[in-house]
Amino acid sequence: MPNSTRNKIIVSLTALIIVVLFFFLSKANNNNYLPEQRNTESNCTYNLYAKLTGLNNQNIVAQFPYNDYLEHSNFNNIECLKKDLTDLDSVTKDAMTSQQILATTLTDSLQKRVANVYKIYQPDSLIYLMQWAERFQYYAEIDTKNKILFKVVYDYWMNFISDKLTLFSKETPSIKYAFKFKFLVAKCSERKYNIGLKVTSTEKVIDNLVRSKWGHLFDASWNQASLLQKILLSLLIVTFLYGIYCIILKHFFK
Amino acid sequence: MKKKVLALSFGAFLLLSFSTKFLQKQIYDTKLVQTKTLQLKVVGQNDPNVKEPYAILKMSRKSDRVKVRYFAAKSYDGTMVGSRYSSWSANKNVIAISSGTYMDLCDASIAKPMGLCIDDGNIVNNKIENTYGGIVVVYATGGMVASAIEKGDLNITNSKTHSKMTIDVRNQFQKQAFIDWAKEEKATVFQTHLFVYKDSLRLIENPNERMKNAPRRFLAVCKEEDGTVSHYIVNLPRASTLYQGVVKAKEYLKNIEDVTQIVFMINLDPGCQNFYNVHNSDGSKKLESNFNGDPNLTINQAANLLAYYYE
Repeated sequence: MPNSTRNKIIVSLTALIIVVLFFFLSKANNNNYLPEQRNTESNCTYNLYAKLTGLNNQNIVAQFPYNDYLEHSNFNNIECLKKDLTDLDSVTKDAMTSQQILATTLTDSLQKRVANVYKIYQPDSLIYLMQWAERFQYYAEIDTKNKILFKVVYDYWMNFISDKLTLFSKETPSIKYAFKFKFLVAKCSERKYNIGLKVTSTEKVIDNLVRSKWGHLFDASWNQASLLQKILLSLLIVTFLYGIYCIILKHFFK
Repeated sequence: MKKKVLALSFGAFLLLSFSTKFLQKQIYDTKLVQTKTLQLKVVGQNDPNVKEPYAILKMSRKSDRVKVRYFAAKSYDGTMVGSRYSSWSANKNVIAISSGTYMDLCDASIAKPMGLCIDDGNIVNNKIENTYGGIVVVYATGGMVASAIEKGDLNITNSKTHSKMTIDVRNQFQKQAFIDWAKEEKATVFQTHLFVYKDSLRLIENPNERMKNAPRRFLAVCKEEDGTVSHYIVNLPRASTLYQGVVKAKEYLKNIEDVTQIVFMINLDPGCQNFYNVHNSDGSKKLESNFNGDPNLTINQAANLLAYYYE
């Protein structure tokens, strides 16, 4: 092959590799914008007491206006939640039952209402949800009387978010490297909701190489290799050693 | 003269033999703790000559001498599991140590346990992994219980009031009560795969599972014929797939050990943190490879540790 043609091929191949590299680099999600925390409305105009008219401690669990409450009340504000609990207590006559009803509203019922939003990976929605859920941990610290309710709501949504992150990373493994995903995983980890992200075999090999775990790398590869793979590897090693032997023979023992 | 020297030598030999016998330390009663290695026919293989090793550690809980302690993660101040274990074990008769449940990473310095985890009353991970199926409680007093999450029948006891509670950790209110109980009792809780529960196999064979000759290790708590409870660590260095490993361990316990009931059998993870050591009754480490995990790992690289000790 003439030199000029060979040079052209080499230059073209190099250019192609650079173009492909830039294509993938441009696809990398480096968007580091984070949604800002929303302010909490202070008005507690929802009149739960009026909505509970006619209910008693026998039928309140079945007939509580779960959807109406989620539609119109201000359940972001601790003062409103405390007022609603007082209204509930007037019917249930039991603080624990009142907390359980409100907990069901703010967990199961709320999840049914927002389920569609979290069917696909939308990191901003998950960040907003986490910002909302985090408030409940602080509420539990300042309101010891209703601590259990706030802890339950907080724990429920943190589990929900971490489960969703696990699911989304299984569906689309590449999101593991996106900024917002890593942010959410780090936040969950900080809050002690550890997410075990599925690591591919290639990622495991790279990780072991980086950490110089040669012994484990060899053990794991050897244990998992089939007989055919072991024979092929042995043949490769024999061929390689024979090549070295030939080179030494040719150059040093002419 | 020659006779005298011979008689004296013989006397000295006898004296030395007896004195070393008396001086030998016994860290556990060999009636309660036994080890054995068997070469058994490979399940599913037609050739009876093809065999594989089963390394068995059997520990009877009779008279509560054998106890268990679990180090779930590095402590809040950053002390690594290896260091925690070393300080704790300084005055303990350790029978065996093994890696316990799954961690999110292989590097022990940053690895965190998967599934709900409480270490000595301190929360390490709040997230429940429903897919694991099992939840294990290790009491500060050295006992251990496990439950199938979906059954919602985890029984716990308040050590002060002796009152009993049945917990369903899927219920948010009961989960909070359980966490509060664990904090108060300084209990250790972890999650792992529960493969056998009350004699029932809880694993379905995955036809796509490719793993071959991978080591498997299981902890089984069994009821014996005489009503006592024994803990078995079944180490299968070449167990093939996970399903086959579980079946082999279950069949071994039921057919060869002849246990009355496998109360539960959980997975001990021999992945990248494959740590396993068993001690002889004189306190020395068993050197047989079937009673050891990854020889490249040191105690400082352990991400979590399950320790059996004798008191």
